[in-house]
Amino acid sequence: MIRKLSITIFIISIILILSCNEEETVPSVLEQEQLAVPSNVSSQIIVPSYKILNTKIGRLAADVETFKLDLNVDNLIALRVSLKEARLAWQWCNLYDFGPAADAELSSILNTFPIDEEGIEENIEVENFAADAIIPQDEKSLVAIAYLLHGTEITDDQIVQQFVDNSNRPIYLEQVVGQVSRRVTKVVQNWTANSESYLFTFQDNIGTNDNSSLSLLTNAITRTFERKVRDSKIAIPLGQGTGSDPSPNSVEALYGGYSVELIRESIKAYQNLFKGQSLMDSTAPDVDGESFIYYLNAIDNTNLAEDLEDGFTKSITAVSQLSEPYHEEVINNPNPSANALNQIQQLITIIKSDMTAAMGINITFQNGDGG
Amino acid sequence: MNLKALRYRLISEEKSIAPLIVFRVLFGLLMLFSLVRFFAKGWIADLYLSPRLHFSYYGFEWVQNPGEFGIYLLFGLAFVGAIGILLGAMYRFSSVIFFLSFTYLELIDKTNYLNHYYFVSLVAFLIIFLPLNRGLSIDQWRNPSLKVTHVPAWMINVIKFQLAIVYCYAGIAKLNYDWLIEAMPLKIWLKAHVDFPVLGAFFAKDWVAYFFSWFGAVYDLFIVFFLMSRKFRPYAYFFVISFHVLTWLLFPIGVFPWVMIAFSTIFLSIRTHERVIEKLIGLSSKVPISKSVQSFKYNTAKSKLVAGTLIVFVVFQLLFPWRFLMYPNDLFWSEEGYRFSWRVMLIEKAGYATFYVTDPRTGQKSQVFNNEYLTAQQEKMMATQPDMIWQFAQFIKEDYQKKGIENPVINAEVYATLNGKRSRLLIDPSIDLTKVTDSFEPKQWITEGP
Repeated sequence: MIRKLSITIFIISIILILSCNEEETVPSVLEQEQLAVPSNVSSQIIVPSYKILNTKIGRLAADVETFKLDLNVDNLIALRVSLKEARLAWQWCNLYDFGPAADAELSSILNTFPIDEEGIEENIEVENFAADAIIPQDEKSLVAIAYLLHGTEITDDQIVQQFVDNSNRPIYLEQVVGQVSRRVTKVVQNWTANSESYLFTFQDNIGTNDNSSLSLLTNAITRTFERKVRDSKIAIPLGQGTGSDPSPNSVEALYGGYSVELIRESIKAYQNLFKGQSLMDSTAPDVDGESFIYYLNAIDNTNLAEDLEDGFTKSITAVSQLSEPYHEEVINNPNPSANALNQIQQLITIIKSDMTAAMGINITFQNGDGG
Repeated sequence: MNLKALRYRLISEEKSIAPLIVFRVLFGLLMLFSLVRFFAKGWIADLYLSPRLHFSYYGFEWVQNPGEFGIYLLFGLAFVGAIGILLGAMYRFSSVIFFLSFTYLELIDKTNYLNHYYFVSLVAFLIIFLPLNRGLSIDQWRNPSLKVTHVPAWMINVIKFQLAIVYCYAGIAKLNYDWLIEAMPLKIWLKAHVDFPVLGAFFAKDWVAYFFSWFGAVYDLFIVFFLMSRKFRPYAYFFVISFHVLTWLLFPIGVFPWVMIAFSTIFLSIRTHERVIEKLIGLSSKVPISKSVQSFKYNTAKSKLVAGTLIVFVVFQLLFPWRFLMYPNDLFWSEEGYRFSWRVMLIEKAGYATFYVTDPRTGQKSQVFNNEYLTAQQEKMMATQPDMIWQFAQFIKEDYQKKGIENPVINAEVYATLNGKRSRLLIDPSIDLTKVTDSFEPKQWITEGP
């Protein structure tokens, strides 16, 4: 009896193995995609995004030097332009808050807001700006630079005069840019350094289990989309959340007045990631590459990919209805913002529940003790 | 076989104590390992120290987080208890403090609910009544008169019964449309593992998901019976090892596979257990096992108490998992009667919950940032389980009352996806969650499942 049983099991296993043998040499479509997505996303989107940011920050640092040597309104205006470009470039990196960027705390170093105006003025006053000085995060970052360059209700001449009158001011500006620049360079190096680069780690770590690159990436983008885009950029200024009073001074570009542009840019960065469009090849920018949409088209048959694309389009359209000055709009005309929140909310729902479930990805890292 | 003979075989026949001794050692070792692992992974801080609030179990609201010192004390007690069980030292005391401290820790927050924690608690409760320290133990070494060679059969069978409950009910739970006909959620889960060595190439294929689903159901339903048959036992135990090692490799289920592999040894033959013990004794000393039979017996009063307790225990075990039948809602959707019923890795569910607070005086409505209250893990678990959604609303209510909004209206827009179907509303978003209460009654505000 037992012998019969074991023989049967043995024969069945042989048949099962033989019946699939022919396909075994070729990796399945799914496996190719699980390989392709981390590879495409990291080399064509993530690393280029950081490189662009690095270039923009480099130009910003150079313009700070120019301004410092020759304090005049023309240089101030040029400097503001490069600051804005750097802040736009940051929106394309905001979503990759894992690995080197998380280690370097890049998000808070570059984009903590609202900032502490009084704290900054005090640092300048008491010369608290040595490179290693312990300065709270809300007294440095690109947003602090924006404060220094734009001020509040003050003419361009007066701003330049502030820098002329107090020689500590340009030094503080230089120090803040210096720190930002060093961190960004470090992250770029960690991603691309020839030996032991994070790029290889990321590309090798396939599958969708808890420590895979796809899981890491998905967790980071869902977290940042909620906290850094929905909450920080819109919901908090609008007065959502505990406390519930509108907080107009919490808009991202209070100094400079381009908050809406930053919101739009940030969502476009997510959209681009989902579509997998390369940032390397500007000749064919509209071709969808191996990324989430592509992967979902392969494994899912419930229109998930379509709904995601639709969600992005709707969110971007809704954000386009917002107007500057945004810190006044959140008080006087909150409806467009509420509508944008609603669209983003629906998009996050699809990403966080439907997409992760379809991909078999766990949100949150804690791998836990069982099922 | 007549009833009397059956009763004799199951309950009063004298059996070697060897399986119980081996079980004690395995239980102690595994619990020590599990506790050390829990500590080393930083889960004490993640699950007990960082959360601002906890989701208590219905009826166990009095189980509160005792604070950092208390938590470490409880883990310390569980650790000491596990060592006591392993060595058979101050056994009654050790097993009682292990059961109490471990169970208390598990009852603090249902976010951390796991079937195998429940299983461990049940077994820990059982072994309080079993004389696992009457051989190869510190207790018996200090007081040789404690030594026994035989115990009544029920003492071994009650552990087998507990394992049979886990396997059979886990098997019955798999007998549902999604699992058998759709091969869900294994279709999703296996596709996530196409990078798995050798087998990976197959995991993308649907028939493999069906094979795993059906095999898993048959395995759970029948493995215990094969383990009980002398003829099939070696093959069955080989299956136990292969099955659980495979699940350990594929899914994030921690120590559960090792618990099942270790505890299933209770089914091995008495001869096997005796040989293991002979080896253990051979390692420690040259004392031969005494050949004279000394049996363990509870005195009459105690035996009535123990019998009564265990009968209640057994009946409870048999009935409790069926309570879901009393709820009209879809079980996997509403999860009413889902826990404590051996539904292990049965569904793929993900959700996203947004809470809105309205101040009735001003009509002002604002969204709640869940992360101000909950850890990522708590938020994730809450978003798919209606009773936790309700509990969270009560936390929000209290918090807003402290902020001066006396009667906040709290609505929740919760989207959930079950077994690969597109997400839909899990509860009625128009319901004011502060106006409903929690009970064992069916929750009318849960929507119909997908």
